[in-house]
Amino acid sequence: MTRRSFEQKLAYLFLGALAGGGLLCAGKILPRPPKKVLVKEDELRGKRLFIDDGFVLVKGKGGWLALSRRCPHLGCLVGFDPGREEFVCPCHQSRFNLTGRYLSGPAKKDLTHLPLRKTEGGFLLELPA
Amino acid sequence: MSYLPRPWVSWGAGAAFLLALISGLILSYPYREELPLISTVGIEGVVPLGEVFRALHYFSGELAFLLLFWHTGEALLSRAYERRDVLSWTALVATYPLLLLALFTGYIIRGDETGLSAGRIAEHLALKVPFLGWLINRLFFALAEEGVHRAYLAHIFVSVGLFLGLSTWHFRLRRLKLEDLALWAILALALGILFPPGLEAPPFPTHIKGPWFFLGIQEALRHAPPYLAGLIFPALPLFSLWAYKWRPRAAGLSLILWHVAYFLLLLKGALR
Repeated sequence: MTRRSFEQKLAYLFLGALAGGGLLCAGKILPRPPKKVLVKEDELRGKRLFIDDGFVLVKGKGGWLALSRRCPHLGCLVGFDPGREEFVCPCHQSRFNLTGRYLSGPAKKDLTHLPLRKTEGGFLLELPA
Repeated sequence: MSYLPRPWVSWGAGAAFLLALISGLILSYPYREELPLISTVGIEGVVPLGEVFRALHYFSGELAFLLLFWHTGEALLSRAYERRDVLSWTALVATYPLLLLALFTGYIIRGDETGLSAGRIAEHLALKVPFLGWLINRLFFALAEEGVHRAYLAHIFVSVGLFLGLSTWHFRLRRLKLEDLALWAILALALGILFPPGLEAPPFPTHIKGPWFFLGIQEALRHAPPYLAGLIFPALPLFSLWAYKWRPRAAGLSLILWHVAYFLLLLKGALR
């Protein structure tokens, strides 16, 4: 092996390692803390349903229930069909009842229940990071 | 006599791509990735000529894709694959998914319901890719963790990188005529006037349609598992295109059948 070809191989190795390192660096996501949301009691007064960006609160027999709006099929945010009182995924039409139980469509799983804590003046909800 | 690709198609694809790039760089100033929908609405309503540049960006991107599609067909008919080595042919086939990725990330970063839902689906599908899924997701999507940040970076980097690569290696940018650029800009603007590229942001929708080129996959995902409908099915035509160099007859048949099936799915999705 000549000096030139040895240097060339070293250069390939170095640049390859640099490219791999670059991908690892760009692929890193810095962790974020879970998001806490306070829903004031005033906002819930007289309502059975409260829909927000990533979650929905449903008033049941035992009090308020928090569900994630993320469809377990491919992650679209479910909407609400008032006629049938069901949650519907707008992307592939999976359906869920008011307690988040799966009814039909490609999702095959229930909506995720989120922890909900009663605090002074409202409810504190923790959305996953 | 052998078939020859029409220059206006191939140069048209280059011109439309360049227009998308220039208008995109202009739009990147008023666009704010932490407020994707609000800033896109602002571009439409408040930024001087924002509506014009958004229409130009939207339709020149779509035209670039459609002309590339046409150019690919002509390249196959002219047996361009016979004049390319394996590496060059593979790189040329790769321009296809890369341009689609640039187009698709453009839909995501509008931040409306259609765009974000398409992004969430892509994120879930990317994570299903064996071994490299996490990296693909983190480089191009990662909406759940980072909003549209990574899709926005991918939109810019993939578009600029792809254009630089093609214009240095596949065609000579210096030979692109200014009148071609003007012609395709006029066409893109005319399309923008006829079909304004709106935004779809209904609150809590129960039915939304993805970008037109994604409707077939969206429909397939209703009927088949995500791995099959979202990964294997869209990968089939790419594989056929790549294999065309060695098995033109079988690959050509598979491409035709796939596109017929995709068109039917697209039609069903569009009529929903």
